[in-house]
Amino acid sequence: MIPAPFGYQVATTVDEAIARLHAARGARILAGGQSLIPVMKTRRVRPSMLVDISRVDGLRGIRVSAEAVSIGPLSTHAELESSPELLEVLPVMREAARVVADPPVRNRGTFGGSLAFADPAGDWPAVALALEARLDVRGPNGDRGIGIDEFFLPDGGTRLGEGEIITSVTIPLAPADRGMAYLKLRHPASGYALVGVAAVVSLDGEGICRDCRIAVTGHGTGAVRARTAEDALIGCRPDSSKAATAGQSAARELSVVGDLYASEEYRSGLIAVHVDRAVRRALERVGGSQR
Amino acid sequence: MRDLQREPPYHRRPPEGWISHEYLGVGRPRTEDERLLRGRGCYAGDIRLPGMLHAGFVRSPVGKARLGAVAVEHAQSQPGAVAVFTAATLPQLSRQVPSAFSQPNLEIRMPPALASGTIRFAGEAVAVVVAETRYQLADAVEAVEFDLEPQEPVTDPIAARHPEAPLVHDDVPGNLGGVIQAGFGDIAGAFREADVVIRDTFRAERAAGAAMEPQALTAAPEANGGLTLWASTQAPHALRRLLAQFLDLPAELVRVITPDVGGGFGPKGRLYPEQCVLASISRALGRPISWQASRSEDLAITYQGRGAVVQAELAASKDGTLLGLRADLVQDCGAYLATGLIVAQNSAQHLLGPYRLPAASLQMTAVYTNKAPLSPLRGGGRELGVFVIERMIDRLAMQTGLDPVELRERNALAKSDFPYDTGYPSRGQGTIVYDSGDFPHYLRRACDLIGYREFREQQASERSRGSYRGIAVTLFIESTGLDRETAIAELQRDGSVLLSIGSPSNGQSHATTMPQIFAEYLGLPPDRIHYRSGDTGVVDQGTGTFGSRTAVIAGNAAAGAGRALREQILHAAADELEAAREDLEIVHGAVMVKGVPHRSLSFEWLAGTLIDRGTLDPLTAVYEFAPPRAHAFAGGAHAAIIRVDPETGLVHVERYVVVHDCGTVINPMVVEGQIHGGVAHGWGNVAGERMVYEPDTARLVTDSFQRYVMPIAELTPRIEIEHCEQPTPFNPEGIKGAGEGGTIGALDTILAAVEDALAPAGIELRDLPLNFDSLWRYAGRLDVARPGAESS
Amino acid sequence: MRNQVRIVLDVNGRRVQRDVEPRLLLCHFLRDDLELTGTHIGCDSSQCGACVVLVDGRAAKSCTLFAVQLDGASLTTIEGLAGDGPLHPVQQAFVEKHGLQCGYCTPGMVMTAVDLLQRNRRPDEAEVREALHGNLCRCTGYQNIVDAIRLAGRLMEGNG
Repeated sequence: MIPAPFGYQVATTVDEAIARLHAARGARILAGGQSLIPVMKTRRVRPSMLVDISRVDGLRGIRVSAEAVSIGPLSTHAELESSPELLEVLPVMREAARVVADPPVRNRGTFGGSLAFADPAGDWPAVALALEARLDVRGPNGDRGIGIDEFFLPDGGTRLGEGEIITSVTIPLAPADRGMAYLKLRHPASGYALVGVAAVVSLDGEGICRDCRIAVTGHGTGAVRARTAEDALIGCRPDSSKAATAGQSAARELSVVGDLYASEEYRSGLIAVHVDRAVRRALERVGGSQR
Repeated sequence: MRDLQREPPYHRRPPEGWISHEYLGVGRPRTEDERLLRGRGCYAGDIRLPGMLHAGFVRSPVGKARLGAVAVEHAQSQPGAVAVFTAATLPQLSRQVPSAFSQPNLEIRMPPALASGTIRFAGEAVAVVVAETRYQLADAVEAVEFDLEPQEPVTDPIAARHPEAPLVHDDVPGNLGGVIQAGFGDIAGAFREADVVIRDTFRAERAAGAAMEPQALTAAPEANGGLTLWASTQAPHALRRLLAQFLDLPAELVRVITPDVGGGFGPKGRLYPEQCVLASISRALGRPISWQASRSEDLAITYQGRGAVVQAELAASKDGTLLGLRADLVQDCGAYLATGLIVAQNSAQHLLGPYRLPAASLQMTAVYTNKAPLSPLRGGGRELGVFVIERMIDRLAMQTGLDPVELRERNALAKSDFPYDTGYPSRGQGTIVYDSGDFPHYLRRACDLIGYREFREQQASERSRGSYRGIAVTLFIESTGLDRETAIAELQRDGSVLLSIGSPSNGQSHATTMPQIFAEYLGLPPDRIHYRSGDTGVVDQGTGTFGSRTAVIAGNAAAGAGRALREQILHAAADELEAAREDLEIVHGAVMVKGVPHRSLSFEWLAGTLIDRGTLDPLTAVYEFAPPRAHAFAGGAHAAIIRVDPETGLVHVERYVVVHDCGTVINPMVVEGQIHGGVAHGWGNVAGERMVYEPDTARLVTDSFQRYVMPIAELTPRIEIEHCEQPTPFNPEGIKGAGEGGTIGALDTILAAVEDALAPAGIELRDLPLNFDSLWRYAGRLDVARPGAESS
Repeated sequence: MRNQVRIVLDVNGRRVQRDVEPRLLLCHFLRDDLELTGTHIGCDSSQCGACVVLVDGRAAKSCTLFAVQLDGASLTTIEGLAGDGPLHPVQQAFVEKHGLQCGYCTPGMVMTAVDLLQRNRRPDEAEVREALHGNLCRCTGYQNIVDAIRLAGRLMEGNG
């Protein structure tokens, strides 16, 4: 399986990458290539030109401040998996990174690349949604920010415009009484998420749930928040029956696609179970032990 | 019943006893490993020849269509394109691939080398493109255009027998490839007398071999008008014979060399249209040409295994004694009957299991469908037969209230029952006779090892706590060995031996095991024995590596060659030492007068002396092993404990035990590796492997590992193994094969354990692979609080 | 002539310079241009792992990389792991534990194992099996491979 021919350029700055993208019709960004190269090999996708941004300065690194974590989009899944700083403040990132694809792919594939590619069964979109990430983006028309809730389109794809590149992903940090989890059931063949659930729950001093974000991937056209599931938890003291209710709500709310492996009904059932389990795991981790 | 004592008795050991007992039965590390670990393997796709070109195929994406014009001009004008051939432009390519089988009762239709007129399965090639480089080839292949008029296909073997079903071949009414019947005993009487009759229907989906190395072939024309081929194959001699037939060449002009092969498992034992095409165009162009299938190509065109529906009826008395078995097996043969009905015949024979069964009546039906052709695949059909009889016994247990293990023990053949004439007609002559075994013993050992009794004792309380685990202990029997084999042993000048065997290796460690057994007879350490195989230019005969036959047949051939060469060396040494042959013995590569160590000659001295003198004969032994009874019956018991997650229907194998009898064990480490791989393959077949075709178009849906489920490390169980050697009396070394027992025994074991886990939900499992969706629904009936479950 | 890009990289300790088409996959560059056929191709969906090599010391699937991306990089293929010298502990362990049969998946398995053991010398069974998610084997059932990798970790720590 061999791709169709294409031109190749290396950019060393973000502006150069944008200019090169703009200059060649049908040009695409090449970061880690772990999503793009496999589809190019099927020839279903035939960019005329690849602009390699892997050498662009300033797109790597993980910076932790008191309020937020800023992640360079070229950070590989492996870098996120092994970052001690990230583990300390956002342990769900390691939990997710560990189950993205496999180790060799994790060594090359990038966080920003995953978000931009927005595979309907990808892991990072669900995690980013649950963590209320914010993307900084630069394009031919300058810089802008996109909140994660606006970033993914309902029927798949993203609001990333023509010629735009993600330059940073910022994840707000919250007070310590927050628990988070990412739970993934792998598709038995592809290894992508058959169901992936990211849950972030915040409790106040009395144990009442003040904020909750639950995002599901793998079930349809892309990662979405399960808002009715979130509503089922907010304002009450969550326990395992509430978690179960949240699961049921998510299963009813989400529009699910059946396929060769799992009928719609089964997939919905799996969503209910995994939302329940992810929420319970997140609750166990509130305010301390993140194991 | 034949009087078996009148057949020549085989000794467990030769009359003069072993020379050394150092090599046989030892888990020696492999000779092959260092080379392969250093990346110095040479597989068919690694061959590089001067002037070599690359070939690729243009294929139909749909499974039934009229093929119209194939336009090649655009492809021919691509940079680096050398030639494009179709059945129309090179008429040889419209010829049919020769059949390796002749089964007179069957309507055998073979594929053409390249399609013309009609497409009958997705992936059939309509053109072959040759280019200078691999990348130029990809562009040129894409540039070939062809017209297809899709027609209505049939993709299910039961539907294919319907009077209104579309025909795969216009001249084969009812898509009926043929029917074979076999049986013995008073079946009508058995069912009349029966207190219990169990009836059920089982279905196994088609599965892929999916060897890690996709098919590959490099062909090079020779100056004498012949051809040399490096093929990723299990059967170079059959390939040579059939290719020569296809090319109208004498077989002596065709040489097939088997390089390293990345797994065979059955489907690589066939002659493929692509191989006929490569051979033809290599000669037509006068250039070496290489072809390596991509994975999606390999999934589409490599012949597939399994794929059958079996209706079975088992008659028994109320104490569980088996009285008779009827079965009707409908085999999905795909678009061409490239392997006849041997798969179904293997299944049918193995429906008898290792049990005392007085009567059976079995029918096998070959049905054409618009899918890739059928091939034996690890188990070769035996796995389905064993699966069905074990399932039926489980059903009988439920019906009679007897414990399934006790029921097996009651009917299983014990040591004193052997040799056991089943009464079932053999495909050659006479009847199938089981050689040796002790099935109640295997069963008891497996129960002990898995802790069957203890598990049952606490299962009820486990269930009451919402934990659902199941256990199963099953038996399997496996016919191993086939046909004959020739081994050639040549003493080299340096005192080492070159041992050559015709049938190749595909990773089963022959280069380690064959020298081990040979070494026992020669008294020379195995690392002084160099092994080569799979080259038709070196050894003229070789049946192939499949059917768990190599250890059985080639092992005995190697042993025979060892004995023969030993005798020749002793006689030559007797002359040199001026001693009587009976006074000599061999100790570690030297011939010695017994008790007189200073009167000895090394092999090296002897070889050098004889070579210098020009007397080469004593240094070469040629031994053909062609036993009257080639089949030796391996057997054993499998046991598993499996947990089912009632909320998801997913399963996890907690323990897996195999008690395994392959007779004399040459290398226990190698046997265990085969069992691990075999069980893993069986696990795959139960846990998710299936080839899926779209019903409306017969397009292959499972065309990549994105959709075809493969066993992965995280989910494949760890196997605990106990060997139980019951040497076969049917060959001198007592060897039974070990390549497929892991798979054959795994199918029912896993299914039965899952069924047992969900027994409180009233589940009955009968199809392969498992459908987790369906398990989830059954599990919903359990008394477990489930999130998301709608109350009904 | 289609557009070619010059790349300079280190392969198994040797400096290599070539002009290549951008679309040339690393696995083909290694196998066809450099005649290092120890790296194998077993699938076309980036799953089987037979093609894994070390890029700047980290495991990567050579079927999912273009050679042009490796300009300036340092590569180790299976041939370069031990060179002509003694076997690497991972290779030794595979021999001792019968971790290979047909050998086709083996180069990728070994390289993935080297990568794993660099980061964690003492993985438990579950960690090894997870680490092999991107490496398929049809012959061994994985068991001996897992045992070989754990043994290799002990050998690398000097604990045999």
